[in-house]
Amino acid sequence: MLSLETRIGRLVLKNPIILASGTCGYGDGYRDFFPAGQMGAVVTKGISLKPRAGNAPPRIWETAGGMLNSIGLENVGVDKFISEKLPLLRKQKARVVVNIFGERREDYAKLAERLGKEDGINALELNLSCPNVKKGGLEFGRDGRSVKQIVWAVKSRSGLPVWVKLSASRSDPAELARWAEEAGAEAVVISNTLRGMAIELEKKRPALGGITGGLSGPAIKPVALAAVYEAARAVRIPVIGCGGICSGRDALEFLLAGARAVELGTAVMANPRAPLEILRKIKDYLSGLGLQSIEQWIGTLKPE
Amino acid sequence: MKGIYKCKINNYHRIGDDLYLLSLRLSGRVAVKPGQFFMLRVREGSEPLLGRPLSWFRYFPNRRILEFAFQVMGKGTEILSRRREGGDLSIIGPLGNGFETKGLRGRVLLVAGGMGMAGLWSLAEALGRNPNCAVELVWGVKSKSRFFLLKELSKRFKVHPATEDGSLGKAGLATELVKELIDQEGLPEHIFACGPKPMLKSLSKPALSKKIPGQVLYEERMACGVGACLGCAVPASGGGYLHACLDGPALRFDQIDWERVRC
Repeated sequence: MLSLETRIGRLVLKNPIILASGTCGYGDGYRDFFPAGQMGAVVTKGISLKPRAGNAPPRIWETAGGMLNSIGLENVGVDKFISEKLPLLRKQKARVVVNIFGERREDYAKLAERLGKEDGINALELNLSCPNVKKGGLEFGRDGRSVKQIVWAVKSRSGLPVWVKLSASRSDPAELARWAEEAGAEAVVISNTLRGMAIELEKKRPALGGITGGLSGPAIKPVALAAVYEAARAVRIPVIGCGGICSGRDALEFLLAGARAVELGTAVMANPRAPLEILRKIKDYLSGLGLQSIEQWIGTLKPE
Repeated sequence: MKGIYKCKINNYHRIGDDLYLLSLRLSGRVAVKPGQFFMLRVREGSEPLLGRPLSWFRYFPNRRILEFAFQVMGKGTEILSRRREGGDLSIIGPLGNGFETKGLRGRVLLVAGGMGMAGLWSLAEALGRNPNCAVELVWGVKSKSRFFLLKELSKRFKVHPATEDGSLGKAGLATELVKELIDQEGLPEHIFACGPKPMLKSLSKPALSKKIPGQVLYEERMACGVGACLGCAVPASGGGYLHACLDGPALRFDQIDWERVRC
């Protein structure tokens, strides 16, 4: 019997499939299609101290092999998240990771303090890589010292495992992963969407209301895979792969490159059955190789 | 119940200039309301990546046939127009909130712009069965080749056609015809509209200023269709945004901040 259990720091996930932040609402966006509890974990929409209305539409634009989004971190804010969304999530019996976002460094610490007091949260994922907001997020995720400070503050204020979501673009992700590790993060998630743009030619205007957006989907998979491969060799903490994973084979490639779990986003929006199909494919493939545990597959990429 | 349905393409035909009627045989029964939509996976694979949101057009429960009418607008609908009978197609739905029709009575005006008729057809049929309602339709298109099933519709309802090029009916826009109708015959009890955003925006002015209750079927680009991505933002009259897939697509005129609607 094959075990798909994977350990992410203090947290044991029953399988390596995680629903990525911003693609499953407050973690229960697909309750009509499958129980969130069947996933290894779910990551909520990015939560900020105050509610955010988000960016002007259009917010979605399909591109070759991918899509751009410019949601702008629309969310209900931490108070309403705790009072209205978290109770629903607890009922789903899923491992819950709350993604948090701040415009200022101290926002992360304040969010950590609030959320650290709540039951039913298994980890916090720090969004240090959103390309869709003017202030915060990505600007902290470019600089190792800021990453270290924020991780340390969140860890000490919440007592929860801290995952850091980084971008595969811009700075050297392996370098930033080292800073996160040094500050006590229990995992790094690579990657967020990559900044991109589309134009409506006839109307001579940007396709997105927010002008630029974040690219996701199969188009970014090679970029994310390279960053995951490099980061997994640079740090001892788990790396979680994210970026264009659409099939069981894609997921198996990330695991082979050293990811201990994978996050799915765009694939689920395109096909709500994707998580269960991908899980089935991983099981069949590894069982077919006669493996007893996914541990025997993770990071076993041949050197040449 | 919202779900994923594997369908067979039962029948396919062209019903006008760039217009197609797609008839799907469902694997099971489905409960649909006028104004709801489905995400259609136009073909398997990752190109195009996302489903295409389309209002359902007609439903024949005994034969488990669900129809969609659409115009070729871009890559997704172009691929959809080239699919073959007998092929598989999966759809997600029914999604969103349909039109609110409880307690409706009197003269009801349905205003369609182009392919918007596809979203109003099932509503017209439902209201046609309501003895308290007198249904009238205004349907504006670019040119007469963009009408579909107009004869069938005209047999059952009072239809006022308009074409931008004057090739059939009134020459001009649907909204101009609505204004004339209001001037001549007075205010309707309720307006339902589906069409391009400029039409809806223009229609919102008399609807709001003359306090005619009304609903629109609001179209916006979306990724998931189920409320998970928050992509399909609609400027809300109280500030912030509604979401077409969850709060709509049927929304009252007064729920939307039309000033912020980008056309």
